[in-house]
Amino acid sequence: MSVAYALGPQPELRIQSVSKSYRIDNEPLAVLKNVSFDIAAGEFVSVVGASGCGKSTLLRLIIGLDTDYEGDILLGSRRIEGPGPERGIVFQEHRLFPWLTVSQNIALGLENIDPAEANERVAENIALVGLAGFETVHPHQLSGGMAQRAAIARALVTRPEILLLDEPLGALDSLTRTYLQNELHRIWRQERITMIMVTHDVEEAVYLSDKIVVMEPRPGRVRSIVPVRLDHPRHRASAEFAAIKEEIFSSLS
Amino acid sequence: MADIASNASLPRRGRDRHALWRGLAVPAGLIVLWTIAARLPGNHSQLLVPLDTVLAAPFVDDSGREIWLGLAQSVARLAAGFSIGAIAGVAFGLFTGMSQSADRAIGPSVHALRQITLFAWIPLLSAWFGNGESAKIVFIVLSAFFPTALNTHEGLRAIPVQYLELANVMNFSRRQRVLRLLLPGALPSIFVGIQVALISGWIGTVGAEYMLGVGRGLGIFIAEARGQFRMDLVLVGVLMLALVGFAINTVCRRVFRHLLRWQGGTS
Repeated sequence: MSVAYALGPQPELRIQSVSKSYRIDNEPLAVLKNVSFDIAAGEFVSVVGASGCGKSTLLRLIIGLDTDYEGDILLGSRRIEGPGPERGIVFQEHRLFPWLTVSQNIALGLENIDPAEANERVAENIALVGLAGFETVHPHQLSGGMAQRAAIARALVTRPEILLLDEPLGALDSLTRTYLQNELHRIWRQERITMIMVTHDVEEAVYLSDKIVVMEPRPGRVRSIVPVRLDHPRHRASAEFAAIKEEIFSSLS
Repeated sequence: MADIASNASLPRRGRDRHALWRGLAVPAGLIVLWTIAARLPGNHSQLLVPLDTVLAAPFVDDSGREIWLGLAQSVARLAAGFSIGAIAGVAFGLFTGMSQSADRAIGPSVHALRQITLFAWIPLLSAWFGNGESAKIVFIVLSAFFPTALNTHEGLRAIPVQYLELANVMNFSRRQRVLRLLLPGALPSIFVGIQVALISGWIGTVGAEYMLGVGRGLGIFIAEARGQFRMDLVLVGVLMLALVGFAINTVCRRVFRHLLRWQGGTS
């Protein structure tokens, strides 16, 4: 963290009074209302909240899939107006192209660079997510957890500064899920990048995050921001861990 | 690789074998009935010939041997008409599938034309192109064009929006979008279109030959045999027609399954 702060006092990503509404039957429906928080470079931030609190919408705004919103999402000093190479995303479904092998899928973001370097970076990222040996396998041959690792490698291969995670482990069984939480933590440590994760699993959020943004629904607002000042590796059974979980649960209800 | 599940196709193969035998029961029964009926004392009708006479006709009968030349001509005709129709159809489907405005401009007209039963074109085509080769080819082109155009278009439309979003997020170039996403994504549907086009092109070939006459071909062979009351030759022709259709389906299924093996056992 000291390295990240040494880069400057400026937060990496600044979400300032962001509001978003859809029109349904000509009636505006507010999805996000006045959402503000900052994310520092290298920080792991989770956004939790009941369904309908707009947490996934917020992620879509940050990645740039939807640019029609009020307020500002600032990357450094620049307002986000669309997708960019400095931001990567992992969706709940892996979204690997079934017609490409694992390594071809991961290489998709590198088609405009030197092939030798691309190969090297693909191999690096396959090793990083622990998929060595599966380079030539097609997605249908992978388990859910392995497919999600490949999706993480695909997002990381372009070396983004910020990795967005939209309930990345939500569709996995609990064993795989716990295992990949540790993997995600290891990757975050190793790559020293900013991660913003949307999840509905409070324990997962407490286990991984520096900071947890609790949102409430209809319209989506920030209810509280809970810092998690526990050392890694964190122990899910410890009293401090339980206390933070309790704080978030009481904030949610 | 041990934890990779890929033996999902095993039980299906087992079911296929049973299905094949069950499927053969009805044709086998019909053949038995046919043989009995043809051998009944008192049957001297030219309209009911025994199976062995029919099967021997292309090899022992002078008029029967003509079928091979006719078959070659028909297949060549199909190849020519299908190639033109399928290439035009895929190109057209890609164009309307990728461009909303193109689809809105020409889509409705094509859908209206598609409603016309294929054989209703024949009087018009023979008026424009005569009874010769060009009328037949144009007819085959038409019968191959619509299935390929439609299935290519539908294949592009059916690409999941999640993949399109991913392409946006990853800043795909236009070239990447077409070569890595749209074409491979539409491929299963394009293949369905090609298979349907081959079959309807084959029916179109024989139908056009039968209705327009002139020259050689399997359809003309059948028409002439009928004119001479040679029911054995008519049946040989029909059998050949079915065999080619069967071959088209079998080859398509194998080739396409191989090319689409990335789909795994799900298709």
